[in-house]
Amino acid sequence: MVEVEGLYHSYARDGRYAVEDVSFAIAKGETFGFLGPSGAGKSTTQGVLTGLLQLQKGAVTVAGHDMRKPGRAMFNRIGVSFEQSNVYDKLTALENLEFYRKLFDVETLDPMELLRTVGLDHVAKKKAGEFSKGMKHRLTFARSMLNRPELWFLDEPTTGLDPAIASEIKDIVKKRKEEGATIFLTTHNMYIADELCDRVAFIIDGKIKLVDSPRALKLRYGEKLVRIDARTEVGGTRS
Amino acid sequence: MLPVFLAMNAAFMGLFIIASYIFLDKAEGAVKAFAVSPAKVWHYLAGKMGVVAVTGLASGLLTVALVAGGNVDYPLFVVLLLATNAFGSAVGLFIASFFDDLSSAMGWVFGSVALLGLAAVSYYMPSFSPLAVRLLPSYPMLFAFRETLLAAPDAGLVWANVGGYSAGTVVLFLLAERQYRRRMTA
Ligand SMILES: Nc1ncnc2c1ncn2[C@@H]1O[C@H](COP(=O)(O)OP(=O)(O)O)[C@@H](O)[C@H]1O
Ligand SMILES: [Mg+2]
Repeated sequence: MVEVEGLYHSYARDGRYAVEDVSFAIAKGETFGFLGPSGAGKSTTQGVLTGLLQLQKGAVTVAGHDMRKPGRAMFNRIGVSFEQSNVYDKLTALENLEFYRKLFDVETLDPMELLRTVGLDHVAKKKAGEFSKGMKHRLTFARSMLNRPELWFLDEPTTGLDPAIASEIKDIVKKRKEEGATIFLTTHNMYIADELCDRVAFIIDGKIKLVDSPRALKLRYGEKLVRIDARTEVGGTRS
Repeated sequence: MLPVFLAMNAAFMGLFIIASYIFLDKAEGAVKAFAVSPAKVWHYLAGKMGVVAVTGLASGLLTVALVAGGNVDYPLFVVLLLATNAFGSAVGLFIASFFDDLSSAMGWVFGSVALLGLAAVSYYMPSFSPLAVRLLPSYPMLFAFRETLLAAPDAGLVWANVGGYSAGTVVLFLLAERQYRRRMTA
C-alpha cells in the first residue's frame, strides 16, 4: 500500500535533512507505527507521503500513485488527520464536515453519524471556534474519516487528549483496522504504538533505526524507548 | 467621485480581501485539509474569487443605486463590475502566491493598491497624466465606470474594458494557480 525507498527531505534545501534515507513498506491492511521523539521527522515523512510536502529525493508510492506526480484522484482513497487541528473556526462542526465532504468524488459517511462516533454530536451546531483544543482535534480526526479511507494517516491521534477520549479514539482506530483499512500512525508514545500497531519503525534524528513488531521492540529496546519517551514527554514542546 | 469609488470597490477591495482570505486559511491550516482532498487547487482559488465577487457586487450595486439611482445602465454596469472585481482578485491572488503570510505580503499588497490608486489622481487632475499612469490597469477602469453612468453610454468602450480585464484575469489566475500548486502548503 505504501513503498518508501531512500527518502530525504530538507526544509531549507541546505543539506540539513529532517528526514534522511528513510525506507519502509506498508502492506495492505497493516497498521504501521512511526515512533520517535519530537523533532524526529515523523510529521515530515507523513507530509511527503500525503503530498503536502514536495517529494525531493527518493521513491515514494502511495496507494499505487507515484508521489512524484500523484494527481488528485488518490485523495479519494486516503484520509489524513493532522497533529495540529485545522478546522474552519467560523463554521459549525457539522458545516465543517458538510463542506469537506462535497470535495470528494466517492461516497462519504454521514457527517452527523461521524460526529456521534467522535462524541461531538451534542455540539454539532456550535462553531468550531468555540471548541476546546481536544474537541477541535476530534473534529479534525472525524474529517479524515469522511471518505472511509483505505489508507489512513494519523499524526499523533491521541496526543493532548484526556485519557477517556484518547481511549475512544483508539477504539475507533481498532475498528477501522478490523474493517481492513491500512493505517500509518505517527506517535511519540510507545504505549500507543504497542497497543495499535502491527509493526513499528523507530525513527530518531530523521533516520529509521529499526523496524519490528512492537513486541519484539519492547523486548529488545524497551527500557531505552521508555526513557526516550519520558524525556520527550517532559521537554516535548516541539511538534 | 462615484467612478473612483466603484473602481476601488471592484478592484482594490478584492485585491486586499482575497489576499487576507488566503493567508487566514494558511494560518488556520485549513489549506492543508484542502490539499489532501480530491479538490483541485483552482477550485479553491475560484471559490475565494466567488466570495469576493458576491461581496463586491452587493456593495457596488448598493452604492450606485443609492447615489445614482435610475441613471445607470445596470446590465452594462454589472458586467463591468464583475470583470473588474475578478481582475482585482486575480491581482491579489497573484501577489499572495509569492508569500507565506500576510505580514510579508503586506508591503506589496499596499504598494500595488497605492500604485493603482494613482490613476484616480490623474482622473481628477487631467494635467497629471504621465504615460506610466495611463498604462496602469486601473486607469481605463475609471473611464469605463463613468461610461455606465452616462445617459448614452459607449457600450463598445465598456465591452472592450470587460474583454481586457477578463483576459488579464485569466492570465494572472493561471500564473497564480501554478504557483499555488507548487507551494500552497510549503
Ligand atoms: N516547516 C518547517 N520548516 C523548517 N523546519 C521544520 C519544519 N517543520 C519541521 N521542521 C524541522 O524538521 C525536523 C522534523 O520535524 P517533524 O517532522 O515535525 O518531527 P516530528 O513530527 O517527529 O516531531 C525538526 O527538526 C523540525 O524542527
Ligand atoms: Mg510531529
